[in-house]
Amino acid sequence: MLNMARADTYRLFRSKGFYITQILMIIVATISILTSTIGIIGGGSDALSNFQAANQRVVWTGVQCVKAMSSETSALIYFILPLFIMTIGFEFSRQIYKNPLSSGMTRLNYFISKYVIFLLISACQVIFYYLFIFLAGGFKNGFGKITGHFLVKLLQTSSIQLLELSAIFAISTLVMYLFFSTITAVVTTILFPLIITVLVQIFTKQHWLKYFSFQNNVDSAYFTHCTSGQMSQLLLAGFGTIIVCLVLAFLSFRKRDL
Amino acid sequence: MAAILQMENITKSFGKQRALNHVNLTIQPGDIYGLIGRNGAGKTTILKTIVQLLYADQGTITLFGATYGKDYTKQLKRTGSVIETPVANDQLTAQQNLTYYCKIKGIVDKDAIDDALKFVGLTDTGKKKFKDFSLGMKQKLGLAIALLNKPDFLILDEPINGLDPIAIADFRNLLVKINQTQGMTILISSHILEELYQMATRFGIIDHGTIIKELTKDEFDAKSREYIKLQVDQPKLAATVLNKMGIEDFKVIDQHTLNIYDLSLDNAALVEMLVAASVSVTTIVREHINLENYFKTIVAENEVTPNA
Repeated sequence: MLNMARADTYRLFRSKGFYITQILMIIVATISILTSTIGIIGGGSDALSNFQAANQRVVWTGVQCVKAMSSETSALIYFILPLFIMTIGFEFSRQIYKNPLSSGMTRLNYFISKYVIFLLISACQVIFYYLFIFLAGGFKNGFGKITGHFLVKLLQTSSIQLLELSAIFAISTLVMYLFFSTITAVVTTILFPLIITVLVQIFTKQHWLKYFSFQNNVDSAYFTHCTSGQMSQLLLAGFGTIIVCLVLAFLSFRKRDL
Repeated sequence: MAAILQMENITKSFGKQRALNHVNLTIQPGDIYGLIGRNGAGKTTILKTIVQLLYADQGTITLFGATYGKDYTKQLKRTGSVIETPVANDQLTAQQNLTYYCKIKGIVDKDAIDDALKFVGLTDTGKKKFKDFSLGMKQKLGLAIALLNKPDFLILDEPINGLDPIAIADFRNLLVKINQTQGMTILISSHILEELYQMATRFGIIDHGTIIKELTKDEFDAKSREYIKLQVDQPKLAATVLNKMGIEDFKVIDQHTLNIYDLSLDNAALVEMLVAASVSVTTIVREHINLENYFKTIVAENEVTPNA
């Protein structure tokens, strides 16, 4: 797995797509910071709108940038998606999987390696995002007061966000392994969170649905105060989705004719 | 010496379509085994089954002594393969692609990449990316990737398809060199039979998912030796005449044809003797069987008697 991680990192750093993705992410974040505005894709809850509105009335120091822009972290879906395509998608669309699988790598090892590498890349992207907005905000308006509470909250928020983003991409992974189609996986990645968001707004009495509204959960991770029960359900929905999708993806891949 | 690969009774179906039908195949160390068959005969399916891109429905495959599970997969590390079209990362150069695969395979030998590029003749591709390679260059890079870990057994699927004549000759020389200098066993599928003839030491003919004939190059050469094709109205009488002339190395092929393998025969004298014996001669000509003719004959016989 370590060999695969080294190889994939090598490939990623030599891909124009990677640098274009990072530059686009920096541009979007910079525009938000310079204009002190936050946007969300596909609509969100009232709480989210209120949080964003409140943040537009304060000075965006580095710390404030992190707080405010945590509510548009779901934009990372679009900045992790290209990395997903480069790490897993191309393997299938270009049949590059044939080389390692035909020369002694087990399908389980390949599957786990690819997913873990993608997970690490996603985590790095989340870290890079927060690091950039903190530094950019800091250089613009000062860094603000970094308290222990803020750091703990940031760690909790980013962990939940990574979990929710991973749940979205676990569904993409399942679609990719089922259909071997990058386009289908990309469309699913974009549409699934939007569809769930719409369903949550339509079926307001189905409270369990909101735990699967991963995009909204990403954006509201910082300011939402969950009870331990709600947190358990949130984690259960996230981890459950990841595990179910990955198990199904591997089962379809395990004995598949390639 | 133990076989490198042994396939016993391998059967594989795709839905209702049976792609491999009780295939038995053995490859010995040092062989260049040429797998011959028409398009859709099952060549690629056999190769994919060996490298576990497909799993057989029935039968056993033994690779370097390992038959099942992890042991088999472990032995696949001793193989290198290019199945169907060669694949690599589009956005990387030849050198970068080899670096990528060195990392995956855990190869730390710094010379491995340069050696592989030099071996296949891709040292001067510079910054050209894989997506911009010609088919010949892609085939060469595919081979270089397969050779990176210095495998004991190389599996190539139609590697000379789409190559120009010079590239084909280069590729052939390359494979023969690998086989002779490194003792590498090679399994190569192709339907370009004259090329296959020039490099293979053994042949397996596959038709409708079944290996219908296996033979060594020496065995084939014995069958393909030059002969005199004689077509007459009374082959039995012609055979008697030949016996009288002291010619014994001949074979009655059908109701009109005899193949005479004794090339010292004086054709004019033979015709004279046959005419004297009231045998009417319609054809007397020198011929030889090449691999293509032999393949066609074997396949045609199999069409007539598929269960023979």
